[in-house]
Amino acid sequence: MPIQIEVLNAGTPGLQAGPIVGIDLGTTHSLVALVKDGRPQVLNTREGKHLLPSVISFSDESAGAQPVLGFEAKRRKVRDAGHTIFSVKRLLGLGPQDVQKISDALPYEIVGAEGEIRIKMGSQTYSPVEISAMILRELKLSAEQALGCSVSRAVITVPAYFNDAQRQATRTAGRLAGFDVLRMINEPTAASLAYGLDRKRQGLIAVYDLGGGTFDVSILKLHDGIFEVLATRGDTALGGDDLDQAIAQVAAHEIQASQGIDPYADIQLHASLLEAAEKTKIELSINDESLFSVSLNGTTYERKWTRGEFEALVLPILERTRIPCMKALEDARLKPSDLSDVVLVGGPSRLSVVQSLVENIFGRKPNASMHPDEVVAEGAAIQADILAGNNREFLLLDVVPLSLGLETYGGILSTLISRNTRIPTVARETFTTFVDHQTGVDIHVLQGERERVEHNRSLARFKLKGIQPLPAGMPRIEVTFLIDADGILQVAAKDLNTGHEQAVEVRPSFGLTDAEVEKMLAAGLENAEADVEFRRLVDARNKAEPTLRAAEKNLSDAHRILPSEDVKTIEGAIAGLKAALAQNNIQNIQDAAAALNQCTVRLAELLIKDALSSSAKNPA
Amino acid sequence: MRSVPVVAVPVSQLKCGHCAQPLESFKAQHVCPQCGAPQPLSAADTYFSVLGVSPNFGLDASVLEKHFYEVLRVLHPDRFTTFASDLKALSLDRMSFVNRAYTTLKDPTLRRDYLLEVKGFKTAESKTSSSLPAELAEEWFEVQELLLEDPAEARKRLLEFESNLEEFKNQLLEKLAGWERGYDLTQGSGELEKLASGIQTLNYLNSMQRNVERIKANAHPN
Repeated sequence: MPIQIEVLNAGTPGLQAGPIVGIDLGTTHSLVALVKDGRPQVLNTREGKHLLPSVISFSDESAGAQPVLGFEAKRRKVRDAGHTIFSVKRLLGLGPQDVQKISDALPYEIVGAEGEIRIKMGSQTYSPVEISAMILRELKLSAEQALGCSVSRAVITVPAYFNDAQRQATRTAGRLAGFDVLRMINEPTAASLAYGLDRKRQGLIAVYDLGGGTFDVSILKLHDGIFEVLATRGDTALGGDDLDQAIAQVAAHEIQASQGIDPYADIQLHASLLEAAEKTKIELSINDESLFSVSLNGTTYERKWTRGEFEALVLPILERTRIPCMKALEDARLKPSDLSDVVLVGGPSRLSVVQSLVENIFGRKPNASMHPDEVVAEGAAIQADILAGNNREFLLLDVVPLSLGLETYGGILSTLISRNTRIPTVARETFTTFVDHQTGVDIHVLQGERERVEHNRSLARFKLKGIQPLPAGMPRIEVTFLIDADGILQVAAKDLNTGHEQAVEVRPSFGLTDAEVEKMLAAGLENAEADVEFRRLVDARNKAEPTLRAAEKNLSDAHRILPSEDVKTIEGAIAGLKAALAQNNIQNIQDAAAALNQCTVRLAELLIKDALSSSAKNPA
Repeated sequence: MRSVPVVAVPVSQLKCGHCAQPLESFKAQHVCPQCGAPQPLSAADTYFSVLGVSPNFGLDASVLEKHFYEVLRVLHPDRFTTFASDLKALSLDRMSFVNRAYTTLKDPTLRRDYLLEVKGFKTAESKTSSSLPAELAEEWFEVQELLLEDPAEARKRLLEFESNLEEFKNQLLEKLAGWERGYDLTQGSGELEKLASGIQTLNYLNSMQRNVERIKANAHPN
């Protein structure tokens, strides 16, 4: 029987709306990928690379200057530490009280303002969402350049253990970057899609995903194209960054002891310690030894690290991944021996100390055959292909990582949706009033596993408004809590007495209200216009500059073969173009370049004739 | 006692809410094979009907999984990403219900409680008097009295009580399993009544076992 999907699939048929890309928005680097001919491919960034370091530098404060991203920004991490932001993912969706520990380890300044955190860069401050949006925007431009068409729809990955606030923040960043975020999927789940692309891979697997700043472990069942997550656990504040911090910490202590200075007091020195630490870590994943070296005002601090020393230092940090792994297995009601494979994901999984720890935890050699940096982006691209309707064989079935509950009398959390529940999922609860003629009811939604409210994560406060004024206990308001396929909470309420939909006012505990997002989106459009202008300027310069160089180069020949007034005209046109380039005015540059072209036509003709006749006289 | 209808409307009577095509197969109750529209949930939908299995205590787990995956393939919101928002919402609603259905029916205890519930028996609220045999109740009373007077003797008696409790519970579990099989064969309401009251006793035994564990933990902090 024909399935006439076209009838319903109105508005946005796949092809017309352009491709749907998959994005891995990572702590240390980000990638964008697309499925072509059934295989996921990582697209080149505008720097011509697969990876975009998630680093952004605002160092050039001159008017109209754009922030620099990627490898260029990474190079400025030390040179211009005060204007360069990295690892911003660690701050996404957090409130001021959450960031104390993290901010001590980061060289840039974090300020808290009205329940929201901002990063201070010179005279400007930026929210983590805005910075993430800039990274996503760069990926959008990269994809557009690589594909030669407009790209406006994306699947973005998030750590499985991200809570609702962190997911909301990611989605907002996507919107600010100009994306319609069709789906957010969990990183280990995305990795499993890329792993399972080869249909022969079936059975129960564990995905051990140690990224730059987050750790996830997921247990999945792969069966006939269905990727069913059975359980997931993790730690959103544990990753490769922590290993760098540990090495840098050792250096800081030794410098303090020998030189009497606190290197962390100097942001540039702090940044260079972190950079040297990262280098040492990466070298030790290949070699047995590495020399850690930074220059201090005039002198040099050097320290030789052996792999053994490094492993002893970081093993206690990495051991923190053991309990989540055991708990995930327990949640899935499995033993390590039930697994048919353990898949490693994330840059730090290249370290032999990580591989041997994973082997020790699961009792089997882990599978390190996937590209640890690219597999998540590839999986996101596969999910994008599924959503586009191109892949009808595969389907993801994910779970909610943390329980969702409501504050009840006495500050106790009452669980409504327990962790590892398949999503989408729905739960309903009926509320009433406590005072006569009460017209509003406050609902406090939390996420977490602890009994007392204050030990859990506050997600949002909802206010049911416009309830009929009745004696206490008479109104019956049914509230529906729905967790959608993105793992994000949606709330709807209905008055059971009247059957009317009830107004729900949402106040996110951290992050942005819808009004703020709208405001930022509007500002983003202005920026986008400024960007277009900037790009036109660059284009105009790029076209004019070769003309100028060619004219200047041939000026001596012009004196030889052209009448002197023609040469004067050319000289005048050269000066005019130089002046226009200095002013950065697009129209003037284009006009001056056209004028120069015009008056050098005769010269070019003569030069070509000259070249032809001389080659005829002197055959090679 | 109010009884919720548990037998699904015969699928042949269902029609697509969007194009009025008769929906004849088990999968068709979820998504119309003619126009591709997800179908709204109806009051007659139960966890059993949406997964195409009979409302019994016993169930073939592999059939349940197979049906669940079949529904998933056609109904999951990922299949409707580019559809109009009202159709997306239908898929979201129905898929949420099917997810709950699968979680409930997969677990024998949740499944048993759900079937009793749709048949009009509430098992969760077990505040009624227990049907604990007199001798067990007496033992428990003695242990509690001894706790203050003679902790060593209390501990001895507690362990005896624990093993008697365990034995009684195992006998009860066997009876429950028998009543479940009996119902699946005869669909007799007598079995349901026995099950409902048996489960209340079971809940009581479970809470008593937790009490025993607590007492043991307090006596031996290590």
